[in-house]
Formats: sequence, structure tokens, C-alpha cells
Amino acid sequence: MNIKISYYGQSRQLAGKGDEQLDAEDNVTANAVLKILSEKYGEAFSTLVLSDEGVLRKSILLSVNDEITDPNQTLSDNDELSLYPALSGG
Amino acid sequence: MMSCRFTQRYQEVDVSNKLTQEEKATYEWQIWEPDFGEEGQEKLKNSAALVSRVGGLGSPVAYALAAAGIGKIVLAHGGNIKNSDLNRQILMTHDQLDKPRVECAKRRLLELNPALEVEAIPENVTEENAADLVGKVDVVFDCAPLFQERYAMNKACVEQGKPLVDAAMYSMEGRVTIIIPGETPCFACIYPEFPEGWKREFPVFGAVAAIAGNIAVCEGIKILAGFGTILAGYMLQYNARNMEFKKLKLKKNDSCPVCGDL
Repeated sequence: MNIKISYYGQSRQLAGKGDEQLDAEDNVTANAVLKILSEKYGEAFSTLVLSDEGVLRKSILLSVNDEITDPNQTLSDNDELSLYPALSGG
Repeated sequence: MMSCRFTQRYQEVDVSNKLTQEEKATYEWQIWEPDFGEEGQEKLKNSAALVSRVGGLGSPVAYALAAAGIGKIVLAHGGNIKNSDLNRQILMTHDQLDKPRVECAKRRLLELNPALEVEAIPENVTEENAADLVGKVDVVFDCAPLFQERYAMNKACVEQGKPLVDAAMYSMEGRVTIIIPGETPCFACIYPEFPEGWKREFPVFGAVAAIAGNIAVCEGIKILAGFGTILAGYMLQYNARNMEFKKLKLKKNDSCPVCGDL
């Protein structure tokens, strides 16, 4: 099935793009998708997004179809998964 | 989203300090706003705001608050002006390089609004001073770069029941949310952990920062004057790269160590 990934904040910089399409297995969880993306984009991305235990860090908001959710959510075809790392000022 | 009927209980401003004829003339165009009027202007005049750091976000926040006629601004920002501040910290000027940021900001604000009371504190918010700073004001604008400052302000606002306008930016993006203690998620609900690998310096344009800053002030004015609908419990996220604006509903953490007992 097809999943759209949208990157915000530092995740956009580390992925090098604002969004992309991903071909994923049926009933995949959001966290499983994040693990796939972490392998794809390397250590800096993985460190930003995943804890040492391999689950989404609590400094990042995750939404599916613009609703904040948790990484255990099962995704459906054509869902949009978005990552919002915490931002600050300066 | 919450209507401002809700927020009015946070804004029991003593409006004994009435508008002068000059002030009525100065703020005429916004007094014409029917939801605001002279009553709203008097509430602003009798209100105080803390602006934590007057950098890329805090500079436009403080400037817009001064222009709108708020009575008092408490500025908290340590350090001196650097060249690399000047693309976005619009209260800072080249002639004041290497001089204290808060003093330059105070001068610029008073040039705009001589009736404004400015308390310029040459320190950043810390766990030690946050309660005292928050205690001086009716609303807090969080524009700080360090998450330690953000968590400290959040905790002080929750403990004192003060509304917190949280603004943030990165690259071509910005965010604003409103924290109403006990009613909305607090900052620690939204981000229970410090972000791993957060870098103190990052890409951003001043104009992108100013969008967030001015949205934050719109929200603050509505909170103080008690009208409109605020972003309480919602995060406004914009991407100036493609001008995408979206609002995301945030979730309260019932076991939050900061606000879970409220």
C-alpha cells in the first residue's frame, strides 16, 4: 500500500525533502515506517526520530492524516504520516 | 478551539487606568474593531506581558505588543548584540553591536510607544527566576531558544495559572500554540522529552520568524482583551516554503508531571 510521508523541522533537513511516497506492507504501524525511514536516512535521522529502544521519541509529534497519534497506529492505504520535531526560538 | 469567553477568567484586568484622548486617537483604527473597542484597548493598557528573549521571535512580538498599546512589557534576554542576530532580531541595530540586547530593545520600543513601561532584565529565563518573572505579568510569550527555558516558563505558568503563548520556528516553518493551565495540554504534555540533537543555531529568515511572532501577538491580544477564538489546545504549523498552514489538535497527558494534577 502507499503511504505519504511529510517531514517538518529538522526531519525535513535530514531527509532532504519535504515529502515522499512509500510503498509499505499492509497493516504496517507508524513506528515500523519510522524504522524503515531511519535505515534509509542514516544515523542523524534515526537519532532525531527514534529512541535507543527503537520507538518514536517523545520530543516529536506524529500525525496521521493531520491527527496527532501514537506510533503504534496501524496505517491504511493512502494515509499521510507527518513528523513534527520540537522547534524553538533564537 | 476555545472561545475567549473561556479565557476571560484569566484576564480580570483592573481597567481603572482609562484611555487618554491621545491614546484614543493613536489606537483609533483598532478600536474600530467591534469585538475590541475602547474596552479592549483599556484592558491592553492595563496589562503586562513577559517576552522571553527578544530574538527572532521575541523582537516582533515585543514590537507588535508595543504598537498595540499594551501597558507594560517585561523583557528577559541576556547577552550582547552580534552581527548574526541582525537578520531576524528586528529590535537590534548595527550601531548597538556588542551592547546589551535588552537595552537596545527597550530603546526601540520606547521610540515607538513612549507611554509603554518596559522592564528590561538582562537575563534569560531559568528555573530560578521563572516564577518571579511570570508573577509580574498577565500573559507570557515564550520565544526562547533553549528548551530548558521553555520548560521552566511552562512550569511557572502552570503553577500560577497564567496563559502561555508558545512560538517557535525553524527554517521556513513556524508554530504557535496557547497553553491555558489546567485546560489545555501544557508544553511538557506536548513534548515530554528534550529533543535529541537539537542545535542552538539553525537556518531561518527573519520574515519567517516574524510570522510566528505576529500570530503570537494576535493570540495574546485576544487573550488579554477577551474576544475571538484562540489556538488553545491546537498547534498552528505553517510552512512558508509552500504557504501551507494547518492546525493540529494537541493531546493532554493525564500523567504529565507538570500539569497532570490540575
